Amino acid sequence: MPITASILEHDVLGPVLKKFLLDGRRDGVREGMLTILSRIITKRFGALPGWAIVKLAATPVSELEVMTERLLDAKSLEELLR
Amino acid sequence: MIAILARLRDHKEAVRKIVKRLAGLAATEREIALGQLMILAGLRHLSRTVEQETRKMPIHINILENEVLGPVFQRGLEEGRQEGELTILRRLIEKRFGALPGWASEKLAALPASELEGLSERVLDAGSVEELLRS
Repeated sequence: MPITASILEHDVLGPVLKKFLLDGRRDGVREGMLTILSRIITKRFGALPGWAIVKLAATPVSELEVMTERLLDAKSLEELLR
Repeated sequence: MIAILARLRDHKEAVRKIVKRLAGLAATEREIALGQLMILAGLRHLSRTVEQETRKMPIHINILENEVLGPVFQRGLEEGRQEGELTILRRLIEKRFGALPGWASEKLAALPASELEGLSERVLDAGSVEELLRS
């Protein structure tokens, strides 16, 4: 039995743990998006230069999604990340 | 630390930089480093600046090292990672091949992060959703 599942329903601990679960999930979503995006960007345009990594790391999740739409059409890394 | 204090002309900024670095250290290391900073600061009459900046220092607890919170945070992280990868991949696939049929959507949602990452390598070359997701 996964113990965390029952602890999450605990009256006192539940809300605290759920917050940590959500915090983790939020970080994870971002990480997952960046993993896929950076793989495909690398496949299209070659290894990511430092400035591109910095730029990607600073891009909010909502913009990462929009960027995905442009990924296939962009002619260069500069065009994609400008 | 000495180098930063000696080099920078703007002492306040220098102290702020150092304290920021210290915030990332483990608790015991942080205490030792803070002690050293106070001594050095005393030499350069910076004690008050150090005290002010330290009070603003965010103390980061490493959640992952906590016995109860660690696994919970980790679980969220893994769920989120899968969700984030799925979001991006689905968008890419739809952009390439149009709206996903039900079977493809279900198949994608059931894949672990590792396989989603593998798929991302093939999404640019695949000729169809069937080719991408078959097996």
